Amino acid sequence: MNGERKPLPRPAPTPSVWRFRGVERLLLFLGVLAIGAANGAILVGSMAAGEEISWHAVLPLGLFLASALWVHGALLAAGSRCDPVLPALALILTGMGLVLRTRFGGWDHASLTRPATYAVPVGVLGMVVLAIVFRRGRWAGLAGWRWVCLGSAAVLLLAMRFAGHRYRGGYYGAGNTNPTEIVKVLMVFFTAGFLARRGDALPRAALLPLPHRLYWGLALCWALPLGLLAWNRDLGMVMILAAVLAAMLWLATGRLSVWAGSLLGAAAAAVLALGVTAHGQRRLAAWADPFADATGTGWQALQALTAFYNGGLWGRGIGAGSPESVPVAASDFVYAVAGEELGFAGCAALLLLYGVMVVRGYRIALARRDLFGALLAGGLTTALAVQTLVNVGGVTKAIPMTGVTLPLISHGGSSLLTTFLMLGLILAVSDPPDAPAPAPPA
Amino acid sequence: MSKVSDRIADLPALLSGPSGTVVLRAVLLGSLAACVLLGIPWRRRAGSAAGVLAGGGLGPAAAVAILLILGYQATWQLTGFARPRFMHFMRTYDRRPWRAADGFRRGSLVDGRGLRLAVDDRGVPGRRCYPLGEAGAHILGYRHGRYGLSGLEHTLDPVLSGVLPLSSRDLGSLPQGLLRQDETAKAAWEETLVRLRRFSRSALDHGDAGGADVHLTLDGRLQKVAQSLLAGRPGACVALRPRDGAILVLVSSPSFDPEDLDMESLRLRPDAPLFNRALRGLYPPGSAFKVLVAAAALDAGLEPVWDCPAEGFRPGPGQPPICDHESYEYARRGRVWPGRQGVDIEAALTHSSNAYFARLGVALGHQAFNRVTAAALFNQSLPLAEAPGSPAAAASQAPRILEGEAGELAQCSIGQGRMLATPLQMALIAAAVGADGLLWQPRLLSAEPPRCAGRVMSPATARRLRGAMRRVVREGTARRADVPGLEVAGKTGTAQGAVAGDHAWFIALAPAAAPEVALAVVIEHGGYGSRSAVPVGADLLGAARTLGILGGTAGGEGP
Repeated sequence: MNGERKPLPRPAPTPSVWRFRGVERLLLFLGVLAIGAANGAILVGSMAAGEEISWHAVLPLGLFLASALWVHGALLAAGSRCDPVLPALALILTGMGLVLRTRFGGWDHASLTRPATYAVPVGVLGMVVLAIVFRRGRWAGLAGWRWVCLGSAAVLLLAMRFAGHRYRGGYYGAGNTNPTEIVKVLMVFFTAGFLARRGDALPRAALLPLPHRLYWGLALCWALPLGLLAWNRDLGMVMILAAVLAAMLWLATGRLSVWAGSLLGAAAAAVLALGVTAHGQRRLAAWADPFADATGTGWQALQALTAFYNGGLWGRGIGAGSPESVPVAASDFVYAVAGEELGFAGCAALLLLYGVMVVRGYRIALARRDLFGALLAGGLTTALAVQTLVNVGGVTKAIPMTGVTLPLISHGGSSLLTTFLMLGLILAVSDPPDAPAPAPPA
Repeated sequence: MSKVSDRIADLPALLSGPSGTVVLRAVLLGSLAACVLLGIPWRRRAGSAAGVLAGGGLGPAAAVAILLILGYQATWQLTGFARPRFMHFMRTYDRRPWRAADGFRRGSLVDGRGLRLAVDDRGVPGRRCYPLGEAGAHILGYRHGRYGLSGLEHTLDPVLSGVLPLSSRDLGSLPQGLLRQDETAKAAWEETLVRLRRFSRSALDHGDAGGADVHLTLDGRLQKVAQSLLAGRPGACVALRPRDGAILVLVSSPSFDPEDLDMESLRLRPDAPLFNRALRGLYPPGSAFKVLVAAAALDAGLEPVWDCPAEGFRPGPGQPPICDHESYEYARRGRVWPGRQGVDIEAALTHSSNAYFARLGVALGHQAFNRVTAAALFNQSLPLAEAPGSPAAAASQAPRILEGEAGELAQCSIGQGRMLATPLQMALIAAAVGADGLLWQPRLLSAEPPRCAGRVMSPATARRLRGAMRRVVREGTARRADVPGLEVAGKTGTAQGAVAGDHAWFIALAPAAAPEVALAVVIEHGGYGSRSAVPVGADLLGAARTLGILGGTAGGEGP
């Protein structure tokens, strides 16, 4: 793919952008194989069943190919030296999500009129634009917007509370969009800016036994969004944001007391959220013993686990599962569908892809010399990692279910757009300011 | 040109076949795995650790968390069969046309001789075969897609359907036991190895692994004979080994086909084929109960010789007399029975004298009566295995008689009044006589060790009773059971039920000198025990000898 493009002039001693992005090319090629095989399996299945094949049937592969060409081409053209693995892995996971979603009748004429369908192309476009616009240290300018970020997060959450409508235990905006997703990005921005401003005080800032005054200010600012989210019963988002805060404090200070404090805070929050409220207690009981009320509160979790069991080690094959028997299969429980169709082996591959993305995200953060950029990448990576863990843990019943989407794979426009936005920012931070500027493309 | 288009047309068939699916899956998984390997940052980039960030290690932490979740996922996805409640849920609520839970081979129920009584059909996943058919339906139960599980299939489901993991306590004590060369620890270790092997096999293919077989004490062939002997008449038959409580036969009639359940019509039938009479049927035991009263009397040193007059025995003023059955028979023919003089306890058993035993019970007293019924495990439910929820016999009822209730005591001493017993209970009484007075808990699982429930009578009493019961068969009411070479000892019973029609009883032992089988047969409204129940018992014992369950040589030279 993209073989026509000539190698760019090579500025010694660093390799050319063409060579630098070689691993991206290889990964995307493997991705074409993987998604081609997956899409082919569905195609072959419906052909064997004698169904009429329309061009929508190859939409997942087509979208993946177009996205791959766009991402690789645009990054090459811009001479970007952002991480070459991250965008490729993100596209492969997105492609797998597209294939899995085909199983819910996701690609028919009606779906083309839904805005959520365009989340993937728009998100991929935005990711690359962000990665190019804010690269080489230009992200630093974003630090000045920290108070705006905090304010808009608070306003957004308040608006959701009072103007949003309820659906499946959560608050949603117009057209069932979920604007709270963006709060993750806003809070990371705010915290990175806040901490970067107080960089010299950080190594001395002990959390225990008596918190440094730095933490008081931070706690004050975080109380409003966290409180609003808890009020909205968005437990998953509370977990993600709390982990983001703890990880960013740890990254910034390196003090072990942050770990201790985070654990204490998490325990207290868990007791408050699960032990005291009736809603939390119900969820906790359903999690601890789903068999006690197998046809009621335990139904969703047990049906998901049944899908896993039916998948076994190698899976039933793409297109051979029964996603209709898993509740909320398209969004929150898509991982169970993957478990049934791809099997344990496929699940392990998907999770390891997420793992590689997260590890690379933290490496990007640790390699930065500028505190704001480093915290930005670290915080966004944490948000992605925790969201993945909370979703997958919930679907496999490792932890209580909280209604969080699986990044990149779950159906859901707001979630997809936010994830691409986060990836774009991480990619921007991964393109270092001290790298030699390559010659502009011919 | 046409060749190319032909090939394209063949492509779906080619790829949708097993090899094509494997190719597609291999490409998919291989590419994803390659992406993982390529993406892992193997080489440390120069300067990467020299950032301003102070805290690291979050990447490895996330990786560990992912691996932990994958491990937990595997306990459901790959080894979910080890979770009995999960398997039960899937078998009940999984609506997929092909269910992995059904592909998992269910363990068999195996009888004492290795005959499979409940076994999965190899050809049809999820289909269960019951070679005994009707004969095993009540005790083995059934496994049905709509009606679920019953009987032993239900009780033993955790073992049959899953590989139960050893408890953590067992695992902890295992190394010590192995060091001590402990036999049970060795066996547990072997079992663990078998489970591990099964575990690894099932990780690759659910269908290849299976639950554990369960060995029962039942004898499938004898069970089948018993069912055919009852021939659809409402009744039950229980046979067990007296000296360890192992149940050989447990049938209830009429029965049903466990492979072709038609619940709606079965529930509507007036003869209640779903009702397990052997365990749940409560009948007045009638004269068969006299064996226990005789045992109590002999233990108390009470061996009176009484006359049994035609007008019977009157336990107290104003009470109705209790007469011998001959008295009623003579009266029916318009004659007067002369009575019987100088009857001892053995003669009374032989002729089943109501007057004698009613009087004997009153002479024995209420305390001795209450004691012996308690020792014989009346008034308590009798589980057939130690596992919770095991099939259990209903509690047989012996009223607790107070002082001054001579009328009640007299009625109960001949097995009437408020006395009610299950067929299993009556088989236990016979078994206690056969086991020199010891009562062994009834048990169904070969793996469970025999448990003694206590002593009902002294060994000497038991020996004398066996002699008396042998006389009943030789010259008394159960002459039909005097099969040459079997040396059967027994006692008949004709119990007046609450509604019309007498229930026929027969309890028996064989061979009398050293009993190997004890049994109880009841036939509802069967009239005289000697006419309907005795032939069933006699033929069953004959079949037991043919099948080699009874030695047949031990007491072969009976007079």
